[in-house]
Amino acid sequence: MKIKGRFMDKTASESERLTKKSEEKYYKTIEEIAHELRNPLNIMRTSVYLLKKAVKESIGDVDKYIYQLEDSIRRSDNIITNILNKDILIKHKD
Amino acid sequence: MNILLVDDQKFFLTLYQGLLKESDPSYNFICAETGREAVSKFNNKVDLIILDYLLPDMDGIQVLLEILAKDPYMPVIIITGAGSESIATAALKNGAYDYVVKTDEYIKTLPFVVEQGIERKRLIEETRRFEIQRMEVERLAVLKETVATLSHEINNPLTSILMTAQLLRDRHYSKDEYAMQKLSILIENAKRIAEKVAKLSNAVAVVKKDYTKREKIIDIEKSLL
Repeated sequence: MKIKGRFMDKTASESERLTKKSEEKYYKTIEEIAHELRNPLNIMRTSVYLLKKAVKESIGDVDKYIYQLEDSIRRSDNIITNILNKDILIKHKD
Repeated sequence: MNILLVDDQKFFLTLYQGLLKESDPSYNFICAETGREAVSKFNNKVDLIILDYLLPDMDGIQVLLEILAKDPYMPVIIITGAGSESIATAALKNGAYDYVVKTDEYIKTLPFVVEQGIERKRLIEETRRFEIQRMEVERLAVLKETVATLSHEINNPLTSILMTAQLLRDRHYSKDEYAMQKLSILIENAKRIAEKVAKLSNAVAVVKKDYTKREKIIDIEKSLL
């Protein structure tokens, strides 16, 4: 019984180690994807900010369109956070 | 197959080599005459250890524990003298794969025990390989699902950004160089995100490779990004 128990312990710890390794690889991939998408999104956010600052007088629906751009960028950012970073947040919580 | 032979008497080292070579000519041997030497010569290329219990510097159980601390699955066969069955029991309790008592018959038994030990190690390694692969496949499936959701969800705001920016550029700022430049950067980066997401969706795919002549397994390297 003791020998069997020892073997089971070894198997369990090996399995835990492998699971941890696999999870780490998964989180790393997710973090890389989030980072890859956030870079262009930040450039877009800055461009809209500069555009908004440069617009002195509003022509037609320009204000509305600029708001739409800001809103869509915010939505894209939220999607990345909710879908990709959700897993990472769970990991850090654990 | 590499076998680490540990015995303080050269006679036995030579005897075991001849005996096992006869049973399987593919065996290679690494010899150690002390416990310390055995521990230092042990590496991940060793497939099995034949360990004499009585050594000048350490006893076999100590050597066994040090080896198993490095590799818990290493098959270690303890050789004990006749009348030392209690030592053999202690060795098994401490994780030895098997033991052989130096009786008249042990010369005949040893090659068989070695063969079984090597087979056990091969099976354990095979199980570990499959376990790793199972986890990789699970991870891949989760990743694929995540990327598919991302691709589906992000498409709406990205399309809206592209259309709005193009509209602003073409209708309102076609003569404003500064605004044109900012809007072009915006469009270019929205396209970059769309391309990256599309590339991700295609990259997380299951690619298979030949495992045996009849079976295929998932090629993790090619299936990932």
